[in-house]
Amino acid sequence: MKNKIINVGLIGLGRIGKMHAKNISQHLPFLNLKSIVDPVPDIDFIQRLDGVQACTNTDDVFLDDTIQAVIICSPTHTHYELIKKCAQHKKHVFCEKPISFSENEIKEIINIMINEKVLIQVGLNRRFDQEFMLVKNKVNDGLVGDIQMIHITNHDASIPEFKFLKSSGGLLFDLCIHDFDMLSFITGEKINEIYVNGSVFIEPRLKEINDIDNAIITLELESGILCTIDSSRQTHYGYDQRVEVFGSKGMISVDNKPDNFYYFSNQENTKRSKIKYSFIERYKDSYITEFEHFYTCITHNNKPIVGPENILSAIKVATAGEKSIVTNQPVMVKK
Amino acid sequence: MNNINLAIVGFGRIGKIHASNILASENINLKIIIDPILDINEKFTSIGISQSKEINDLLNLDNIDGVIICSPSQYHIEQIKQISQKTKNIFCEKPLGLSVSEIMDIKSLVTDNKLNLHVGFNRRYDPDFSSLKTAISNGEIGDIHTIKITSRDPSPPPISYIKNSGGIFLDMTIHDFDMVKYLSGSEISKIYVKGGCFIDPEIEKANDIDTAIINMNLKSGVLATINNSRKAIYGYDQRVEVLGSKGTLKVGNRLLSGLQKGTKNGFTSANPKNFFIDRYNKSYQKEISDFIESIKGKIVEYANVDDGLHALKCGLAANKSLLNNTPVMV
Repeated sequence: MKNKIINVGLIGLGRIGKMHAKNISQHLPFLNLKSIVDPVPDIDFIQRLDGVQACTNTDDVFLDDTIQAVIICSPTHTHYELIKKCAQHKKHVFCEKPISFSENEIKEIINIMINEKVLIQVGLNRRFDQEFMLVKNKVNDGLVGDIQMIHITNHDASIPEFKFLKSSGGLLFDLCIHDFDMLSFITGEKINEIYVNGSVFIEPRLKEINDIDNAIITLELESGILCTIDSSRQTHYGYDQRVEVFGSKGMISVDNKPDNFYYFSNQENTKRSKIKYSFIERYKDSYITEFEHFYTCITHNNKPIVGPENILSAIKVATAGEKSIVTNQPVMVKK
Repeated sequence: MNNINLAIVGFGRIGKIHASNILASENINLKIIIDPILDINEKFTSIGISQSKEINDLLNLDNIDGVIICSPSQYHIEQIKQISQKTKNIFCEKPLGLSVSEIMDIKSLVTDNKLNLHVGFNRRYDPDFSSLKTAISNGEIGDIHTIKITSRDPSPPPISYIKNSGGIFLDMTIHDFDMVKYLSGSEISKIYVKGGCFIDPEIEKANDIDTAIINMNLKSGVLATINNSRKAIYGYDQRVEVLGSKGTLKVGNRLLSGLQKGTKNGFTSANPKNFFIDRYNKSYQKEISDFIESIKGKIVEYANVDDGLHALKCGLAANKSLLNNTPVMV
């Protein structure tokens, strides 16, 4: 069967936008990246992609009838309006997480997409990571029996600039949102209750904006499964991404990927490399797989496995988490 | 220097471990073993160790330099009081006592009589954990930010034991509370607990839980978490991770063997050592040899009455937090 090529446009050429653009041109032959929109487009970068138009006006994408799908990688506060416009112009949407910090906006988006009959996939890429997919499948197969505890470690290698931190939505909305979704992904359950114990250790200016850079989070899922998320903005040794699922018949754990497997041993000790340093390196394959899925959904008119409903659930947990920080009490997550 | 004469009160599982470590030490005599349900062991008699069911037989001896208390927890306080009339050197198994007020009594006794009272938080003497402590103290990872402890037993004790154990926090987590203090050098100030009964409904009937996640704040500002289970099917899972401003330090499990196998089915390696006596073997030797050194007058670091009090207070706060589903100040 001949595969249909789909033209796509990309809005927002920051770090993640560039990564998606490169992946599409190098690894996703069924997607043709036609236009990139950015207020200050990096022309050198776009020229290297070969055959991609650089634009500064989003209408260049919306009014282009040959473009079937739009990839939104602009700052979070712009997502809502851009998604609505996409729907209006009957374009499928791939939007980076979180599509909005507002539950109402997300609910509205869900309805609009249904009414306009366009698909929306959200960039919760970890659902497409090979290891985590394996964890989910093995858990479903009953390998660990009944799950009793899940522990997630989610540490960034180095703290982003304060400018980014200010617009990130905070540790819970920016970093831990992935972990909230991971708990639901693995178990198929919603999160019932959250208690956040957070602190500022690394960037003192975070105190001024009521954010934190470290947190130990206790969560309870619907069925009573107990979970922890242990989150930090800075490790120095790499992007620390681990999951441990503990059950009546055993434990599944996913460890970090090292930069390389080179070891050196001498009379003093044995040295090995750091672990993968950023999400781009650690989750490289998942960023390709998520677009393969997006493509398949468009061509088969299937609903993507991860959409605004999942972000909505995760946002509710983050919102309850913020409240927990303020009240210093466990908080029930809104149903 | 003359030989040192020791006595053991309570000759259960842990008493026997201490006895064998004492017998393996040079210039140390085990003079007497006290246990109310003791069967006289001829082997001990033949090497000059007295055995009695009555603690008075110990109190009437003249030349006792130190006593190791391994009786059930509810007897600790009374026995410390009695024995302190005889010697200043007392080693007591954890938990030191079951209420704050009784430990406060002991605290005054320690101050007034200058007791050399060691508490059996053996994990402090584990070579891995003491190396971890040294690396933290040396500033190898800068200031510490978070501590994460995984502490899971291979299988639950009998229900009869659980009923008298004081509950999971006083029986099991108490070691982990002490580990947090030992590693950080700071007391725990606030505790939030989530727990459940996943393993055996009989444990729930005994009014206890078998699985717990503990989320803590330390006075120093450090955050810490402990996760406990009474039953990890793959063995005794004992791990610690510390994250600091310059990096991380970790202690993993000690495995049953170093053997690894690779076949068409993949690789396998051994599970963790399955029992606390095997896993913490060295720590039991070291805590007793340090106790002996302190009797000789050497200055050693040890878990003292304040540490015993701290761990107990944490356990009690944890019980309260579980009951009310709210964080509790220690």
